[in-house]
Amino acid sequence: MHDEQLVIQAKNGDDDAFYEFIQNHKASLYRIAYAYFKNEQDALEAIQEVTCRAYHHIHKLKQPQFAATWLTRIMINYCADERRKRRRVQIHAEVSDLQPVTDRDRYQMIEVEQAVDQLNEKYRQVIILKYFEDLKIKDIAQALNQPEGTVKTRLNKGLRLLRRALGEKGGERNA
Amino acid sequence: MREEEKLQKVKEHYQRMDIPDAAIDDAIKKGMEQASAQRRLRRSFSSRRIRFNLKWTSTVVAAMILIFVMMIRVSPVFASYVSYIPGLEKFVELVRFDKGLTSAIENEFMQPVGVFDEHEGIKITIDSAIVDEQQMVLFYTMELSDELRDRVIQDMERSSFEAERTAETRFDQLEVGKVQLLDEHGESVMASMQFSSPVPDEERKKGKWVNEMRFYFHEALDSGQYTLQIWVQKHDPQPGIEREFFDSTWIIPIQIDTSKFAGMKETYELNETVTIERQKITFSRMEVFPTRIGIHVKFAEENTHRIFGFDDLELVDDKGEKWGTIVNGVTATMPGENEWIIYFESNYFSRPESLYLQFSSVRALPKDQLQVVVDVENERILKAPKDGRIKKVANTGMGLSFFVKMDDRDEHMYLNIFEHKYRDADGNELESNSAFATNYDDFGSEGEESNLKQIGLVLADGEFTNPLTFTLNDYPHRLDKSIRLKVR
Repeated sequence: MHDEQLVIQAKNGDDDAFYEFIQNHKASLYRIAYAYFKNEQDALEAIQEVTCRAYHHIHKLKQPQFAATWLTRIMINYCADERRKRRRVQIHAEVSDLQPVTDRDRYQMIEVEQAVDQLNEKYRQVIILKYFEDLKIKDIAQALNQPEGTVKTRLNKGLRLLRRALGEKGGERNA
Repeated sequence: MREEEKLQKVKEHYQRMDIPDAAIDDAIKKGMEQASAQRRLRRSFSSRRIRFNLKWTSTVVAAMILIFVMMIRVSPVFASYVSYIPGLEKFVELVRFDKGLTSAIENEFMQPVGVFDEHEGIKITIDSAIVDEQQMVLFYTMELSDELRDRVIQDMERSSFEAERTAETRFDQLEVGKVQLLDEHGESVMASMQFSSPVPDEERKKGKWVNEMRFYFHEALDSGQYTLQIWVQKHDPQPGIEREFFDSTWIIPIQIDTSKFAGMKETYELNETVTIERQKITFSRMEVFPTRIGIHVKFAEENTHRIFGFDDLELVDDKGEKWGTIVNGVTATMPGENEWIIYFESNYFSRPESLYLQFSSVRALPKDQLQVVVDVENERILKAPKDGRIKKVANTGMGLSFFVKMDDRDEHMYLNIFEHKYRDADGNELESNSAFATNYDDFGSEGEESNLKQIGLVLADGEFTNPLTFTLNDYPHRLDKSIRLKVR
């Protein structure tokens, strides 16, 4: 069934419809959470919390056609909050336990993940949604509740910052 | 390599990544359960069952257990009393939030009963009682056959969310579900009842647990011979699933020693009137019983405001020891429209030399602002109190939700602000049988108010004519004034 129909039913108290609606987006939600936390356990916890929040607030969703971006927004907000909380107790950036094919790939991945990790939240959000989740600028704008122009600006700035971070690291490696 | 290509690589890994489907589905279910569990204060108006606020209780448990342990150590008399009534420690724990009842036990005011009845693999024993002319607290033990216990465990381990989706009979909330108290002539005793406080899962899984039931007598007890009839429920009532009972009736005769509390009532005439923003409140009388204290309060008819309740109302003695209002049980009765009896923990046994009644604010609204009118279809508020605390109304998964601005001090306060009877546009009276109050923590969209709580009613099934008119029963609007009255 389509999101729109599911959301309308879920708003009327249909738990099965709500469940199916979250199900339809679970892969995407999981990947976003994974991009932030780099491990399965935290990503699952994020899904649980986001499901809970969505359940509480689904009545606020006035335009069911934006259900997917709405869920993405809840997830991004959760991840950002959680990250902010954890920053205080945690010094080392986490590295994902994904298994890339070659060592070279693995090295590059860690490098990129770490660089993304170091970005300011407002750049990290757009980079993750654009480059990891492949969302359109328009959808990112909706998910973040920001004008498209702002999203574009942040993407450009984010990429520049990444380039600098990766470049500097490259420099060290060659030295 | 340019950073965009590097990002592209990472993205490919993410898209190829294994997704733990089953674990995610599980997390989604847990999230939904968590959301359901947060619908606090879900309380059935139709039955008299009153439940603890679980979140709150857990924070106070540790301190209270500690007090009891200390008490046993210092009182050898009490220690011998403990062995006189088997399982006493567990009963003390059940009333740990009421220092009056705790003190009644400590002063050997509890009576042993020790009578049981057994049917369908369930043995119910009435172990002991705390009784005075106002109320009776009965402590009982539930004991299940091994077979039934295994069934209970099995049902408890199924997730409640899944269980909600099937209409199968479950045994996960097996407890006393209905009670009747008969006098020696077989007539029903006029009393309000409260029973089946939640049992911790680990106790229930053992197949044996203790609990209490309370009777608030409408007339003073005079004779000592009673019969208790008990019906046992299999699970709690839930939307779409009717509550089911075992077929048997457990019948237990109990003998109460009325001489233990005869003539114990102490009355103090107060007749003190205080004025808060032109609202007159008279404290007329204090009655002290072993199980509770009742303070009679009258509100002047000419008051422009309806007073819903007192904040931080308590009794305090010269040494600073405090007795609060009853938190679990009957908090007040209303003999007349402008007359209340508010109940406090008893200090009958501790006999403080001097005693003061104090509070710092009351919740109140002008009498012409007690109606809330809602266009349910368009989710619009047509009439509400002028202070604007009701920010909006919406049909949510919980029911008709009002988003109400609370004060900082209300963080742990969950008010049911509406009367459960309401009217539609044609003047038909409708009745909700469930209310809710929950924190409304926004997930971060900008410009939202802080301190909002989501409070509302589950509307009655069936047709109605829009708009609906609700009556306020409580509301977080305050009149502030610090009051301290000498009552003894």
